[in-house]
Formats: sequence, structure tokens, C-alpha cells
Amino acid sequence: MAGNGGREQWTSRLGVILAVAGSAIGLGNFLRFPTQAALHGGGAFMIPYFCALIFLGLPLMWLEWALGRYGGLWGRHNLPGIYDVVSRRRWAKYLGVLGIYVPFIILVYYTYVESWTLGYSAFSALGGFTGIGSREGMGAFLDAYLGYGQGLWCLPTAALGFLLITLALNFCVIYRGVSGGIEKLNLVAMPLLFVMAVVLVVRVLTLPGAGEGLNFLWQPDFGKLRDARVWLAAAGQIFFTLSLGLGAIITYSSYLRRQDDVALAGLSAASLNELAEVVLGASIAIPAAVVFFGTVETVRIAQGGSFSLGFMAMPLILQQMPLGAFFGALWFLLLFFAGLTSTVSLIQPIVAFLQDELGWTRHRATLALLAVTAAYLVPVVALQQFFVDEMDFWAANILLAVGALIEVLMFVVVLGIRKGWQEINTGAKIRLPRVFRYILTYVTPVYLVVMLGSWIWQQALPKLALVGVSAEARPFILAARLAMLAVLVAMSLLVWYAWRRGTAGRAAATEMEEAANVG
Amino acid sequence: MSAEALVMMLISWGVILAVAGYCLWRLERDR
Repeated sequence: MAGNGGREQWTSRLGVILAVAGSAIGLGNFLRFPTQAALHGGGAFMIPYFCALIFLGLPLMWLEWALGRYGGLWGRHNLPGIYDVVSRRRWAKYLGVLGIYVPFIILVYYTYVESWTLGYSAFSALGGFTGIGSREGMGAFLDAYLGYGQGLWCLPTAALGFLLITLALNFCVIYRGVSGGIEKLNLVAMPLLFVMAVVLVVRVLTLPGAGEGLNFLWQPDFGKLRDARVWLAAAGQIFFTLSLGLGAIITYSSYLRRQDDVALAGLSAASLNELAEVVLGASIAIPAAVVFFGTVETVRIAQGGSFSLGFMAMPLILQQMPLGAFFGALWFLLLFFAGLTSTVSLIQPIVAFLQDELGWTRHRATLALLAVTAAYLVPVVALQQFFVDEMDFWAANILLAVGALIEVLMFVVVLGIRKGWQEINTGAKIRLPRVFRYILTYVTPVYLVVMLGSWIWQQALPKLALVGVSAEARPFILAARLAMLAVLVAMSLLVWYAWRRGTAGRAAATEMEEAANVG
Repeated sequence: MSAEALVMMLISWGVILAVAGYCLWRLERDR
């Protein structure tokens, strides 16, 4: 599979599919999904979940693959550049700023959380949790690891060490390029991830009482379907799990050729993600929690959220099993691999922007981004309890949905659904039902607007007004917001500067010229 | 495990495994 001209390219179809699946499969597949399902009707949750997959997830997935490939044909691999060629209007590139801003914000805190999984994998293997017998004890261990209660600006040594290793691994992959780094990583990491997940599923499902664990997760409560919040939770889960609205899939697919299929590839990547989430992800943490803690306590754990399940309950559960050190290390290594394949997909859109629009080399762009990410991580590590939640809420909830809505409008209105539908079907190895054209035009935007509207109304407005935030936490929360705002302004200025300086698209022009000469 | 829970689990898994299997088959066939 050749790419565009003499620049970055995928070398195999499997490589790009696994890369997109790797981007989508993250910690949420193994932690967020089972807690959401357990809290929102069990087996009945799958009804709104599959509806959201059909009306929101798959159409957006195909849209992003097609939009990315379209942009790549113009030598653009980043959202500001792609919106510029799609619309040809001066303002369009600024809408694409979210396609580099949101990945950066998520990258910063997600890398930190990812590094915890690496650290916990090492602690599990070396017996670091020995003697801890309760969730409260595990909570205290996590607090100590993160340096809570040791003074505000006291940086935790172990956490910093694992963070540096994680950062180095991520940026080494990007430094080596699309085929030499990202593709090779995913060709190795994704099969390994599935093998690790299958081993853990077999271990959990062969525990005495595992049937009760599965029953707890899958017992349908159809009465919950009358609650709109369940439908919103399902839509949100589909949206997050497929890495939509980020710009990551768009960047990855921009390294495809004109005649490369996006319909089957998009469906394949989505189905791999669903396999990892619904079949494997649902069969590890919650069933294991039920076996060890019982159903009442598992509900409490699930209500505590993904961190409570992943970092407080699971280490306790796994260390009580025979070969607990091995299975504990395997569990956190699985999460680490899931995180690593996701974070590299967050770095690539920003590096592609610096290459395409500022004319930087890949190595220069990678090192510059590493320096900026490391600088931003200093307050995040020191003030994690204030920064991470704030960054996660605004970037990974609100702005992600805003970004997706802009994508749909760009594709359906600006590019035009007729041309857009042609783009999806160009080179397609499967014939997509025409009904998806109408779903993409009418249903997906409505789904997004309702989801976004409800989040703004129910969560964003109270959060913006700092409802329930203590007086001493307020300055730190405001500092977190100020830092995020500063990055947004800086990135918007960078886009303005690239176009004003005339470097925007120059690399693309050279790339297309080279391609024409080769042709 | 109750019959209802088993049915919901098998339907969900079945749909996903069928689609994933179909995709793999098509990818292999068109290689």
C-alpha cells in the first residue's frame, strides 16, 4: 500500500487497520465499558449501545476514514490543512485547530495515566502490593505513588520514572515514522494485546463463581431503557471507544492511496474494537470483582469509576489468585499496550501539522512536541488531582463532541454529502447500504447535538460555575483552565502564522510534485 | 447464569464475532 508521493506511507492494509484499532482500543475498553454496562441496565445496555454504534459510531468512522484519505490526496495529514482544502475558506482552518488541540490535551494526561499502568505492572511482578488487603489500602498506595499529601509541588519519584519511560517509548515510535514506527508497533502490540486479554479472560472465567460475575454484568434490566441517561451513556461510550472526533483516524487514513478501501477497513477497525470491548473487556474486571467482592461491593466499585476498578480493586483481586504476580503484571501490561497504541495516535496529528504546515522535518517536529509535552506535564504531575479531571472533562468530553459535529458539517455540508458518499465508496471492498448516507446526513448530527446539548446542560454549566468545588481547590482548577486556554490560543496563533508565513501546504505541494514525477 | 443474561451475552457476542469474522474473511479474500 503506497502512500502519497515520497513521504509517509503505510506498507500494508493490515497495518493501517491495526493502527486505527490500536488508536480506538484503550483503557476504556477494559475499564470504562464494563462499569458503564454494569451501572446502566446490564445486558439491556447493549440495545442503546448497538443503536449508537449504527447511528453514530459507524457513520462517523467511515466519514473520518474518507475525509482523511481525501485530505491525504492533497498532501495534508492534519485537520487544519484538510479543512482548508475541503472548504477553501479562510476561516475553515481555524475549525481544524481542535484536531491538534484536543489530541494534545488528552495526550498530556493520558500519557501520565498510561505510565501508572507500566508502574503497576512492575509492582505486580515484583510483589509491590504484598500485605495490602483492602481497597482503602490500595487507594493509599495509589496516593503515595502519585505523591498526594507530600506537599503540592513535591514530584513523586517512581511515578516520574515510569512517566519518562512512557514518554520516551511514545516519542521513539513517532520519531521512526508512520511505517517504521506506528505500523510496526501496532503489528506487534495489537496481536499481543489480544493474546494477553484472552489469557486473562480464560483465567477469570475459570474461577469458581465466574458465572455469577457474568450474570451480574449481563442480567438485563429493561426498565432502565426508559431512562434517557442510559441512552446518553451508551452514545458517549460508543463515541469514546471508537476514538471519534479526535482527528487521529483522519490523520492515519490520510496516508492511504486514492483507490484504497475505507469502507471495509473502517468496519474492520470498529469490529476489532468491539471485540476487545464487549467480548474481552467485559469478561475480565467486573466478573472478577464479583467473584472476589460479591455483587453489592462490585456496584460500589463500579460507581467509583474506572480508576477504582482498575487501580484499586484489580490489583487486590489478581494478587489473591494463584500466580497472582504474573496475572497482575499481565493485566497492567495489557492496559499499558492499550494506552501506548492510543497515545501514539494522539501525537501523530500534531507532528503531521508541524510537518505539513510549518515545513518542519519529522524529527524536529517530534522533538519539539516532546519538549512541550514534558513542560506541560510538570504542573499536571504536581497538581494531578486538579488538572487531570479538568482536562479530561473539557477535552475528552465536550470538545471531542464539538470536533465531531464540525467534522460532520464539513463532510455533509461543505464537501457535500453527494461527494462525501462517493468518497466513502471509492475503492470500497464492500457495498455499504445506502441508508447510511441518510443516517450520516440526518441522524448522526442530531445524535451528536442531543448528546452534546445534554452534557453542556447537565455537566458543563455546573462545572464551569465551579459548583461543589472547595475554596482551596478553586485557584488550581482555574489555573488548569488557564493553561488549557493558553494552549488553545497558542495553537490558533500557530495556524495563523503558518498560513501567513506561506509555509502551509508547501510541503504538500512538494509531495504532490514528487508523486507526479514518480508517476 | 440466568437464561436472560445468557441470551443477551450470546446475542451481543454473536453479532460482534460475526461482523469481525466477516471482515477478516473479506480482508483475507481480497488480499
